[in-house]
Amino acid sequence: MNEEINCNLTINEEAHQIIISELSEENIEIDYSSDINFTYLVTILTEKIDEDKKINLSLEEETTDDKLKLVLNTIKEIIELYNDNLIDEEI
Amino acid sequence: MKIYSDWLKIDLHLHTDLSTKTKEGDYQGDFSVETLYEKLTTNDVKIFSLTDHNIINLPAYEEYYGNHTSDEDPLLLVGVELDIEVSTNNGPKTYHSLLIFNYNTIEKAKELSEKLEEKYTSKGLDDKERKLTIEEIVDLFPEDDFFFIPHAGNTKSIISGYRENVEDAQKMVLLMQSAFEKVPEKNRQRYNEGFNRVLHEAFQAQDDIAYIEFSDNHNINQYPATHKGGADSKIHEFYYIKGSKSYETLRLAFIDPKSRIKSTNQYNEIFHLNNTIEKLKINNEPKLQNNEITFSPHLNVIIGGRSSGKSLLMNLLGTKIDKVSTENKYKINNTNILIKAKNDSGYKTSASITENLIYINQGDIVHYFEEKKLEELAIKSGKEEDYIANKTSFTEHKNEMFSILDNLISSYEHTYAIGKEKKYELHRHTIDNIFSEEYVILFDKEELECKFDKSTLIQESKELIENINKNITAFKESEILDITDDEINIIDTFSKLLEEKSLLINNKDKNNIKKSKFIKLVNTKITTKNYELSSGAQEKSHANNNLRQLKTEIKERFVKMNDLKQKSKILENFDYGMTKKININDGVLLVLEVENNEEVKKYLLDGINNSNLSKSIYLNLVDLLLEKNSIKNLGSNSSEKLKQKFIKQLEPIKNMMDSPKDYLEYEDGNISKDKSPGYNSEKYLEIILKNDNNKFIFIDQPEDNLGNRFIADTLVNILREIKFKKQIFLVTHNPAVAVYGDAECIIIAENNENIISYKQIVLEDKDAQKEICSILDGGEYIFDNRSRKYNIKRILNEEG
Repeated sequence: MNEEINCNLTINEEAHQIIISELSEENIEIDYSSDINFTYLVTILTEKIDEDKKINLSLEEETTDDKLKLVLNTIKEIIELYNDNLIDEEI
Repeated sequence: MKIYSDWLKIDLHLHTDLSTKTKEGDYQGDFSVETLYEKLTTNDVKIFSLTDHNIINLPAYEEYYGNHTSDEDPLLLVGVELDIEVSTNNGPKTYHSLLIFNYNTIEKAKELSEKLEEKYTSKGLDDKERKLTIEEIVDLFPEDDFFFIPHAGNTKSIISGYRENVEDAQKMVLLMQSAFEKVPEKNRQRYNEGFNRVLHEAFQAQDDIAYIEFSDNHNINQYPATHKGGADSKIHEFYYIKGSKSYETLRLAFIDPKSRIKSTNQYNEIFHLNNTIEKLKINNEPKLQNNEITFSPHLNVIIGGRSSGKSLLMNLLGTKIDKVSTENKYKINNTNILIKAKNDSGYKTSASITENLIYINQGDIVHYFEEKKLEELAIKSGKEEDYIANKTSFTEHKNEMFSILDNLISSYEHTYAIGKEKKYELHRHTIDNIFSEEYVILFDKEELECKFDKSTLIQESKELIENINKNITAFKESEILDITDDEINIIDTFSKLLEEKSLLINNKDKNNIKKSKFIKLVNTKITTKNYELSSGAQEKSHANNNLRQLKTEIKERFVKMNDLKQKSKILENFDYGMTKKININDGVLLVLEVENNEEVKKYLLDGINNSNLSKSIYLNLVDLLLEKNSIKNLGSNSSEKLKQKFIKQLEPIKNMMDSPKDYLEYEDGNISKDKSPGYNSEKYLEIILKNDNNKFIFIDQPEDNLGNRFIADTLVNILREIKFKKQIFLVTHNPAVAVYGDAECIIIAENNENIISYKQIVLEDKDAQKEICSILDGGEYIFDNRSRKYNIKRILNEEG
């Protein structure tokens, strides 16, 4: 595990969309206007396991919206799970 | 001592120096009876004649008959070589013919000589101009029994005399029951075709015109050189005739040359038999007279009246050959009965036979068809391995059917486990919750697991690599493949590739575990997150889970029902019918068959109450699952009961596959199952007799259940064809087998006051012929037919 993937998270509050770039060829868009579906994000992350690279997610924007806060925290925790899972297997 | 018709060297054409009296310079060197005797015995000649040109050398005959009177001495038949004149449009022509008389005394030689000399004197012919017409010869020897053996080759040939009407010559040879001398082998077929044209259709193409070659020696010091033993001579290749040292032997040989005359080459061919049963010695057995029976290497026939001990002798032979498994049916104490095979150094209590052998007891043949024991036929035809292999195919086919049934039952079990009461429903409040304004976090764990789980593929690849590695090791270590160093390099390169692939698959396995774990962790995380939401959101999440669960269960049900449908279809379409054919001999096939007369579905649905044959097995099983109908008599529709019922329902098919029908398919398209046991017995016998692998044949009364026409037309011809390739022992009541079959050894069984004895006779013995007639029904008719085989009567009528 020599290399790392650096990706960015941005929020389009008008469109109620979270956009994660640099993780895959195309941006990952997560709609949070209603229910929030993480299936696609986890699919991309599962595929990335083959590359054996740790992921650094940059999240600069702060929010006071509880729902958005929940979503962002969940994304961060999923990325952590991903990174931990790589390390665990190495041990 | 041999008491069967054996092969004897014969030379009926030798000259003495007296030929120079009637033909200028016709003999080379000195002639003496001592030299003649020494040359004949050295060359093992058993029957001969001194046949000078138009003269009989009485001093030579007298000296021979005076000095050589032992039974071991060669038999001298009185003979002469005559110049015979024929009138033609181009003037008179002369040909040469031997006359061999049924005499072997000096008195008869003198009598014949006087008749000849008087005739030549009365015709006023000089010694060197002696010739007679055929009419004069017939008049000269009206009561004398003789063979007329004309030259029919290039010089002094009967053909040149009768060129204008060859048919006359042909009829003359046929009438005089004779043979041709000096016909090159290449011309014999052409001559036979000529004879066919004058013979009645029934007697054509019998291959029974006798051709024979003698030395025609004119220089006894050079014997067995032909002619005068000079530069144009060669060493004579003797002919053999079968029988004993008698004139009658000649008669039978000229009647039946195919069986009784052999050139040196033909003789050598028939004596390649590796092993034969030579003798049986009977000693100190109260029920049997002491005796030593000597068998021919060819056809041995045992005849006798009822309860005379014919079958007993066959049984005795069987018990004395280690390869034959036959019971001692007659309770003979056979410890003092000894046997000798050619390969054994002396008598033994049991003969060791390694060659293939056929031993058939009385009545066995017809029983094969009546009792349907064609497996034994296959074994006795040397096709045991093929038979077993083909039977195994039926077992494999049966196992395949039950394996398909197992799959079906397993599939039924899975659907049955769901239960017919299972409901698939969504409640109103669940639907309301799904559509509520609350938000939840969604994650489809099943979709991801389905997408990423490669564990089956990984496991298969690991096993594949492991198997290839094992096979490579075995391949490298093979002793027979002669693996070279270069090839080792190729194998090693391939092994490295496998190592690389093994590492790759281990890596994929590791990642696969990581992926699976990751998906589970995320799922737990999201479930936890949803629990942290408002109670309304939690209800929505719960409703979503219910919906997902419902979809999963419905999908699972469809998958299982589809699996049941597919498995049902495979069994429904299973064709249990099967046919296997084994080539037994000459286009005769042994067929193993299971006929698919009733489809599997019919058998299976018969085991279900209210089943519907117009519907598929699958739909009938669906009705079982829904308990719209039931398994007959078993009280439950469970998979165990269904299996129990279906196995029972398939039992008739199983039985058919365990014991496929067998029958013979003959080259004429007939099949044995449509034919009588008699017809099939004939075909069967033909098959086993013609099998080249069988070197010994023992059959007790093969004629049982056979038609007379088959015996006369086919069986006898087969026996004649094969008897020089294998040793045959037959017990028979049928005279045609012994007489037309031209048995070399005939053993007569007799029962005098419960003491059984065996006597050997030969066909060329006239007294023996009478005895055969008295024992075998129809024997006289057979002998009569044989004597008329040339249709002499018809020709005589035409001539008259």
